[in-house]
Amino acid sequence: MILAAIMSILGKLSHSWSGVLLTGFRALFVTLCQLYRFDIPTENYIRSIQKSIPKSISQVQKKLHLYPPPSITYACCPNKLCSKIYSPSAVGSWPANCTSTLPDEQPCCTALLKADSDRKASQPRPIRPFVLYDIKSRIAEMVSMEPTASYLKKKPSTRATNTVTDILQADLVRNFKGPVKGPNGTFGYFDAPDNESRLLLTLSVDWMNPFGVKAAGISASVGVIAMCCVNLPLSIRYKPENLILVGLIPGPHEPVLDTVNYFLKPIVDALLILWEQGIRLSGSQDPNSLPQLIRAALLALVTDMPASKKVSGSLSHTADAFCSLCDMKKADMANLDMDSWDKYQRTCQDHRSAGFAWVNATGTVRRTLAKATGIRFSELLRLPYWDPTTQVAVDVMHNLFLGIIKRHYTVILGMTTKKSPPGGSHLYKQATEAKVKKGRRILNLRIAESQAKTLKNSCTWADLYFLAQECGATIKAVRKENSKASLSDSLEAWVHFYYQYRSLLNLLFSDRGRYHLDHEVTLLMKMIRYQRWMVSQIRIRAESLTLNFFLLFVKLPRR
Amino acid sequence: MILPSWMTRLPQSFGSASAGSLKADQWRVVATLYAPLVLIKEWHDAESTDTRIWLEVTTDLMSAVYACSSHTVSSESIEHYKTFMLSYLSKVKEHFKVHKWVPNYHAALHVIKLLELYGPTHGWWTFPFERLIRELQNVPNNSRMGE
Repeated sequence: MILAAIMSILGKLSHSWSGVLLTGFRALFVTLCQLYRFDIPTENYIRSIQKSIPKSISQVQKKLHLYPPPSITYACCPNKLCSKIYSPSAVGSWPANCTSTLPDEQPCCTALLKADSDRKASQPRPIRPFVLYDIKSRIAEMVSMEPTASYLKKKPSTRATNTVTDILQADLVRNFKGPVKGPNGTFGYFDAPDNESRLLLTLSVDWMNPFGVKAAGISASVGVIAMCCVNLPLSIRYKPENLILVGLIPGPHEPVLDTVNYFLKPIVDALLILWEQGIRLSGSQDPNSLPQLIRAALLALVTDMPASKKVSGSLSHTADAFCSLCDMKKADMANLDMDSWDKYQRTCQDHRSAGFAWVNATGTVRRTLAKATGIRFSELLRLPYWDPTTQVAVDVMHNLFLGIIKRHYTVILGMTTKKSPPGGSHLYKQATEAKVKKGRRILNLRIAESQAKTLKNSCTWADLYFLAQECGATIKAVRKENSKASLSDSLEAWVHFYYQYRSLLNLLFSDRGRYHLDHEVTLLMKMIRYQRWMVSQIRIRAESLTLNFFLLFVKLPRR
Repeated sequence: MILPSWMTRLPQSFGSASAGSLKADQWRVVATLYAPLVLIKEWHDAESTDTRIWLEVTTDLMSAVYACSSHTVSSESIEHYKTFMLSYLSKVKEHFKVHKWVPNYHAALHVIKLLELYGPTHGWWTFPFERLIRELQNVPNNSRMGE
């Protein structure tokens, strides 16, 4: 029985196969008894033992008291634009259709439930279930069980020196205000009575592909809401058993815009209870201790940039108001003068009022408001202590390690294994002599139509780049423009222009062709037009062109 | 090269396509350990200005990452981070105009304030949550929950 439980939980054995394992055991037991013809275990005794071996894994779980953590299953609207969630009624059923209104003010009415094919004659189940674990019971578990309990009951030590070694000693926590005045007469968060534990949590929301990164073609996005208690010392804080998995936002798409608020709402409700009333633990391990009161607060939102924008109610990082921490607009993005940043400063009050103004508006008003302020409503604003200007963290892992460092090496220094690096310096890309020669031959051939294609097929990116530089066709240094195809295109265009230009010059300077002046002017005009087109297209070196034209004009009056 | 066992290792075939993409911590190790050793050795007496600029921006970024991934934070280390990050960004702005300016560059400057507020970055980075995600990804799913 225990073997089956271990296999099921740790070995990831499916329910049906654990059933097979258990039935096999029963059969084995009976056969053994029959084989050896034991005298003592009578027929009845064998039967009673046989009965005590459970048949299915659910019975094993019941016997071993292995219950899943308390959770509520919400029915989530399958409509991508809606995603509203419905809590189950007392008898465990959900409404059949969605009752919300979509952003375009149409009723949603999407069916929420499907008939359950697995269990006979049971209630229909939600199509898109949202399972939310109970944060309060998870916290209670952590406070009452070792090794976490002893750390959570202690108050964090304050720092003596200027050096900060952990988040608990940093300014945000030190200046964090508690919900009620403490025994020392201050509002400090850790100024609390002895029988009260005060916890600080960080929230993380991230989206992942449940099919793994390697499964080709299948992609879905499931949100993971998790919390972490920063009261724990660093050595055990991040152990998987000490992270609180709050819920999974069902896929297959990320909730759009502010619909993530539906999923946050029950979490914020729980956090509000943890802040205002706290929860009381009656059965503590130490019988002499008073019932323990636990309060908890959300200290920070720690997520990657797209998720933090979504959860904190800011616009996306591609929007004009791209920053969730200040009022800077896209045009000023490259402003590095931090002394001038005061004018972008956004206060907590500004953010709050903008958020609540947005939620009280409807339809198009919301859109204009969001565009003007860069802020949508977020459920987190309902927390009285929530300060979006300081409590939304920029994640260093995504921002620095996966963002700036990766970009520095792959894009700016151009160290990449890709065939055509997206612009940048081409340190490790050398043009080969033979291929450049071949490219030159192709250019001299002047087969207008297929030139670009032949070039593309026979030369590498580096060769093309070399050729382009040789011809003096400077290339616009935009990512797209620098692809192999565009390089060969611009080379082809350059060749076209070059030959036409040369033939025009030959025509003008030849002794045979004594044309009328107006004809020459037309030709000149044509050339100037061509030059303009050229400059806009491939930016031929302007100085060589001007020089040629200058020569042209010097020569003209002589004739 | 002999490394302490707790340092994240790079894939054996680092640099080739078969190594796949690097993980966040591997990027950190590249930037703070391998790149300084290799690039300073290779480039320190280079004559071309291009190479010198490449080396300068790289060392600036490296110093900023050192300051920011340290296990202790003091006002000096914050100042250090600020100086080098600003220097890195202004050099990128000056010499690598061709590349798009990304919001990450701006956000990196907000990290200065956050270092003051939050202390060392290990208290507020997403590594543990990403690990949780990896564990969830390993949960077998055959489109039936819990079976």
